[in-house]
Amino acid sequence: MTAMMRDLRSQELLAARAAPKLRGQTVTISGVSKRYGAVRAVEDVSIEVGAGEFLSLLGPSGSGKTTLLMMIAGFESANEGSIRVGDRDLTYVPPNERGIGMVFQKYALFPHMTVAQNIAFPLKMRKLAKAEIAERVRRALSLVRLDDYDHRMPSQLSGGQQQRIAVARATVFEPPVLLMDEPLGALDKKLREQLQLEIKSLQQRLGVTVIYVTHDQEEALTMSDRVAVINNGRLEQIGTPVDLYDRPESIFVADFIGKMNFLKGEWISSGGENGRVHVGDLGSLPALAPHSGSVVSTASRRVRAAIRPERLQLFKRGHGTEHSLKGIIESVIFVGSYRTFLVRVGDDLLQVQTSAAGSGHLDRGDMVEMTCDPTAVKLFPEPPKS
Amino acid sequence: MSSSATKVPRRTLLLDAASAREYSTGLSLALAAPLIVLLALAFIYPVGKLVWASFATNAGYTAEHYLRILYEPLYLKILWRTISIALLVTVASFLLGYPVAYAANRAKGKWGLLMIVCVLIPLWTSVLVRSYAWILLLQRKGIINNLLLEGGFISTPLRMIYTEGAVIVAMTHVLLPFMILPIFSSLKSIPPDLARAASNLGAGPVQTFFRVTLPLSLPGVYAGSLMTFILALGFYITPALLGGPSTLMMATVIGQQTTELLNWPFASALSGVLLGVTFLLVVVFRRTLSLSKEVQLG
Amino acid sequence: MVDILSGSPASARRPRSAPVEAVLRPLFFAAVVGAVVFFLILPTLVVIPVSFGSASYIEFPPRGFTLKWYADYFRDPDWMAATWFSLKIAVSTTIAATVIGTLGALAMVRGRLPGKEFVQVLALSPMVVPHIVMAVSIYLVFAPIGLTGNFFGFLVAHTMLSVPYVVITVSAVLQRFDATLELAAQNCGATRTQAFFWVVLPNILPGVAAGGVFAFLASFDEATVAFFISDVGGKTITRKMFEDIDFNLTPVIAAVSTVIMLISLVLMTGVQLLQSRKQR
Repeated sequence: MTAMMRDLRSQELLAARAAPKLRGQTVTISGVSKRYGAVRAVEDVSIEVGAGEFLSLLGPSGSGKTTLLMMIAGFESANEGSIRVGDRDLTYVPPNERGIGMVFQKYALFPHMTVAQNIAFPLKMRKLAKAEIAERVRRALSLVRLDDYDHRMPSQLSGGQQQRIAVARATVFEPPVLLMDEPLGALDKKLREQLQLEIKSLQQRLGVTVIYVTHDQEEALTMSDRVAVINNGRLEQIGTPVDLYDRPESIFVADFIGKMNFLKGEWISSGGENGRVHVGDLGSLPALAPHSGSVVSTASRRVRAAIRPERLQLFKRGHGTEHSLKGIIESVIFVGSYRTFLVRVGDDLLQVQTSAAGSGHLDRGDMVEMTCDPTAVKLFPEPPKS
Repeated sequence: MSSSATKVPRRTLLLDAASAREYSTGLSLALAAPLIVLLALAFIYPVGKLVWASFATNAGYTAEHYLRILYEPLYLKILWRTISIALLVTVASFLLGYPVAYAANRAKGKWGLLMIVCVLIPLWTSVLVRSYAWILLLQRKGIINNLLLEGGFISTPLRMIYTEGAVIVAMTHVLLPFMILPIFSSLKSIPPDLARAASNLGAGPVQTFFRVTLPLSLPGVYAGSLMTFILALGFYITPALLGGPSTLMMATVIGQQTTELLNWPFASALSGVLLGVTFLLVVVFRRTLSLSKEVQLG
Repeated sequence: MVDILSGSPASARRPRSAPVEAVLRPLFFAAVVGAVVFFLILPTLVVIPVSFGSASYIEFPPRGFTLKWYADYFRDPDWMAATWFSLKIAVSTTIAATVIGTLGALAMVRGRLPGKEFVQVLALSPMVVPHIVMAVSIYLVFAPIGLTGNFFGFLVAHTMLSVPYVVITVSAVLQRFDATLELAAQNCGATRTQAFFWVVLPNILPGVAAGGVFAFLASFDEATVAFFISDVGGKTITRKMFEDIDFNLTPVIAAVSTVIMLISLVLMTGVQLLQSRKQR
């Protein structure tokens, strides 16, 4: 365990005794749609978030994930559908009465108030007694480990510190749900990773339900219990990080999560479930029959095959089987514990990731052959030409 | 499944806003109402009444006042004089003001600030005070004459005040800040890298100025010129104090007709003409500005 | 070899301008700029020494030093009445224009207003119309109903003239204001009104204050409209100055001018300081 993680762990244990236990509530989004004129920002999205769950809304820019979050917060109203928290229907409730915490992308700390006043603001709006407010602010500050910063102004804080104050302000009134809109986007990598851990541990300690918007799939996979992938306003797939990584249900999800190789080819059965995907005259890869539930009809066997870089095995030409996929190494990238090979196969450039040990003999320009386990290949119907 | 939820009945009024980023229509109207009412009562109504009155006589509606302006040579002469003085003042302000705006933009640190302060102080001083200052300067027994006499440059005092020259000089002084500030603002928004790029590509300082700086500062030049010209057209105080009978301008004539001759319909007609010319200028300006913007971007 | 010694090849290729001209051109330019700046600032400042001069006619440079003209100003009931009248109007105008203008700017920048463009144009129109036309129009409305020389008449007229300045400065600062802060305030439980007073207003205060100062000066310094709608019952300081310049030219006017200038200067400097402090 690194020093930082050890430090965090012990602080977690200490804080777990001090922090109040929040019971997160469920969030039910049903058939929500939002249109701006002719533009469909969100189209018929339904998600059930469990109490205390950490759910990420993942998608590229403009996918509608932020719009969806804004609707949960109450800043935009849905054209169709409903939003419930616990057993309260919030669809028509104004944003200041929803009682949901929110952390904004640029923190939105009030520049004219001190840190303490910022955190106290939601309590002031709820008309709590002064002494009570002071006590809660103190506790919130120690929860984010910025105890002595109460008199500072937001402009005097670093990005990471501002983010933590924003979290403190959003949780000080003990909301059942916490919304976060790409809160770590403006920070550098190291700080981001540190704060990801902090946010996750805070969430587990408080037990609050978190809905987290991000375009960074690594971040989503690291932090979430489940991830909902949003594209063009629609929910593409929702599942645990492992689900999405190992069992993507669409080319979009397969491509968006992690690194994925795609090949165009024809699937030909070799008996029962087994078969091979043939890529022109460059060879083939073993693959299981597409499930009957998928749309690959038997008439057209044109498929898009998807394989993760680390599931491909690479051999020098002549050392593989006679049906292996053939290619030429275009470049080799040494990353320390593994190597990434960029292999040209006809029109496509495939990435192959192998451990550094045992692949040192392969070089740029080498003719190679690739094969893999049949369960590693996912088949998707070839999408119509757009 | 959508909308199986029960509607929460209260506060639906607030929610006619599709977004919390904007104020609802109802609230916006309420906020803007005092402004609209004020302007309707204190601006639209009086000006409307003025235009209406310019067509009125005891007998009914007529355009005779406007026709009088057209046919009596005196008034066309005055209109022409007003326009040409305004034009002169605008050009003079431009020629004098652009260098100052340019220098203030280029100056380092404190000098630039000092120059702008020297532009702002006259701007913040009342027109009356500045006109009075010019009287002090240009009188027969005024400061300039005294200095010239004592210095032996002249033997009899110069006749400066109550001439067209005095009006032009004083108006230029008053309106210079209105020309300088928009140009300064425009110049400041030109990235300094552009001049460096031009120089790197082989342009000398003069070429850089005429081909890069000046064209990019044109929006400021237009804005400043328009403001200066419009203000000059309608100027009352300075020509009234510094001008003589031979330098009657539209504003002074309007003033006379209203307070001395009590010929309100005619005064209204004259005002109507002034208003019309101003309106025309604004429209032409906006057209030219959008055209020039298209040329710049296209 | 000579080329290497004489410097970069580029300079050898460029035609050399005569060294004299290279020095003269910027010098000439500086002289022109200096002259214009001098032209700008001198007449404004000339009133100050005149107001301290002891001769009862205009004299420059003034010989003696005296405060007699200031004393005359402060002791003269007519002058004091005019000053007080102008101050009353200016202060009331400031309050009215600031409130009305700020509310209007809010509606135009952050609201959904039907016909927003029309309202925007309307809000700025008093600035485009020549003051003489404004003066005559208002006079024609006020005179028949006896509103000349009347405090409320002046208040309405001056508020109308000042409101565009407030709208411009407040709109500018509102547009720079991050609307997300208001959303954050609402998320914390604040109603729109609460969010405005606790979060929006404190952050747009420099713009509002600047607008207020402009409104004050627009009213206090206003000469044309004031000339037309002043009468014996109520006369502004500008009207009295105008009359005295025409009929009673004494250095008292210089003293009054200096006082007015000082007020303007103090107010505007205050605004600049406020704005530059907020930017830091």
